[in-house]
Amino acid sequence: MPKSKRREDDSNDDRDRDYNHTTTVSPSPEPMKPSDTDSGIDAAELDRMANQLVRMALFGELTRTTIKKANIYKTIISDSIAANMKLKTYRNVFVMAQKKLRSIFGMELIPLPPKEFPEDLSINTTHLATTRSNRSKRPKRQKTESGEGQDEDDVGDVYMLRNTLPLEYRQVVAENRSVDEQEFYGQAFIICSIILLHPKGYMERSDLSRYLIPLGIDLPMFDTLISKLTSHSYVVQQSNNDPGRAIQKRRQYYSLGPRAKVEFGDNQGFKEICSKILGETFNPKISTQIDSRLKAVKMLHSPVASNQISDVGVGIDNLEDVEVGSGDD
Amino acid sequence: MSDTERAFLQTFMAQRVLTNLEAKTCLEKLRRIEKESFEITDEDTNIEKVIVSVNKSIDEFGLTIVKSRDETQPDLFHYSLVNKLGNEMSQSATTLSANELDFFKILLDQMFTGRQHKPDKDQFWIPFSGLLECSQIQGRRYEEKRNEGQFTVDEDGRKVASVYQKPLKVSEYKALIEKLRQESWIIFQGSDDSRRILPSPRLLAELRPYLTERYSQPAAEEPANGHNYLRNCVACRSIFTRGKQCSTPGCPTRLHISCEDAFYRQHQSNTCPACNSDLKDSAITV
Repeated sequence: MPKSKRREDDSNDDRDRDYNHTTTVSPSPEPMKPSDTDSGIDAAELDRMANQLVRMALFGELTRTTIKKANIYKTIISDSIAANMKLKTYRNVFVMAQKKLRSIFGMELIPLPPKEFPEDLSINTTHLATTRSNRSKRPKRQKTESGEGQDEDDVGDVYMLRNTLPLEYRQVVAENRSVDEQEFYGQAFIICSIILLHPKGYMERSDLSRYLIPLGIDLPMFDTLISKLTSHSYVVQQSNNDPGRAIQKRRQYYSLGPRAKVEFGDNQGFKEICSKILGETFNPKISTQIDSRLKAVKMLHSPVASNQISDVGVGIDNLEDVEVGSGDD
Repeated sequence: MSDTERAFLQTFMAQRVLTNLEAKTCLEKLRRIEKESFEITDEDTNIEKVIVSVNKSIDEFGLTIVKSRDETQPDLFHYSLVNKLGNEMSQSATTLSANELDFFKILLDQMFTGRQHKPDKDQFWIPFSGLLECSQIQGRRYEEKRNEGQFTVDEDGRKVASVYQKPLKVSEYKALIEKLRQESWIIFQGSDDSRRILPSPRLLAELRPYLTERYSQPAAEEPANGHNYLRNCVACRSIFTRGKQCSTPGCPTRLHISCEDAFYRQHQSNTCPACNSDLKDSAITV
């Protein structure tokens, strides 16, 4: 409503109604279709919990915070629900939230890929101390291309949001990020690309930092950047803190972190950058090499169209390992 | 929702506030992708229509996109994605740590009720040098709380555990101010030493409930001299921080520059509706 017309109604009580001259919309909530709600839990209650999960996911993503399954249990699944119904409730809530995220926000929750380090480096585990405990000790099984969602190993207890919009749309969104955010994202992309393209799949600190000097990133800047990248799971840091070694010989290695695999898991993006860097020397052979490297580090591929993903979503088939805390069943 | 609408919403999630021009440019780009053609119609770039549709979808999550007119430029509008459940500031400013949030609240106190406000002249901006004072206040509170011991009593008389919010160091609050600017909570005006910190359209839109509750007194409880920190524009009724203040001491009339012309036209006079003194020429610009 244009401001100029507002004055006719000069009474004070329009203040509350009028939320900062909002484009006010009062939607009529659509009746919930209870999907599989034989659990006896009110559909409206499930809907409320799903909305809460959506908010949690969206606000978490702003600070690149991951969402932990245990935390969903703690803060969203209402205490009034009987302990033996919690798992079923959680599943329903997750499915509903996933639907909403995809259809409204163009995003989806996916399990954070496990933090893992290239094998040839982790063989010497006695010399290597992982900076963060490696959560996933599950055997690795190749996920089927069709993404049937039957693969139980593809389940984590930590989630992050992934964009499901087509690439061109995502680019428009990216253009509108703040300058600092764009700069950080660009640097993250370049560092991850360098690590990815390194034959070993991981890099020693001084090697990596040397590559960045031409880009104007000096050592102090590198340190700040790498700690930010580590804390947001773009890279995983591993150091050999073998106490027997002299301090000077202790080294730090970096490999791709879970978030990089999700966010940059788009072959096209990597290839495009490589072809730009290599210019005329880029050829089909290199292209194949890049493909095999991407495969080797198990990069996640670009999101499939939302209608191709089963509604059950990923990560809810294997919930039994969640510790709910109340063991009175 | 279409991909265009989803991407438009994602842009708001990333940016929080877009001007009408930015929103239009963004929508144009998205429509060209959607239509796979450079030719798009005015209907395609109707921002209001897209926002109505988006708002319908995000309402259930306590989110909404609100439109507000710039306080000084009549043709400039700001669209802000607002967290409606954000009555408590901590729910809105989720990217801040506890002591940063504490500093931010002190900054707001200074902006809206600081010593620079005079009964006859509002001033909602603070100079950069005013940050030092915010820092000192935070330091004093920290000391007080520490001396008080384990519990304090809050405004409602409840006993709450004292939280010692360690005061921010100079480098920390400078970084915070930059962060607040990037997240569109505040805006800067001027350059270098004479820089001013002003409340932003996002701040006024998203924290309106908080600001109103904290800084505005109901008419009945107004102090005798008529001094009340937070007032609404007589024309548009949204929060006033920049524009014209009636020159009569204690008169509550405030008017945005961007609302001025329309107000005189509608009102069919240039006088203050409360005290009848001339607004157009003799009101104080704040």
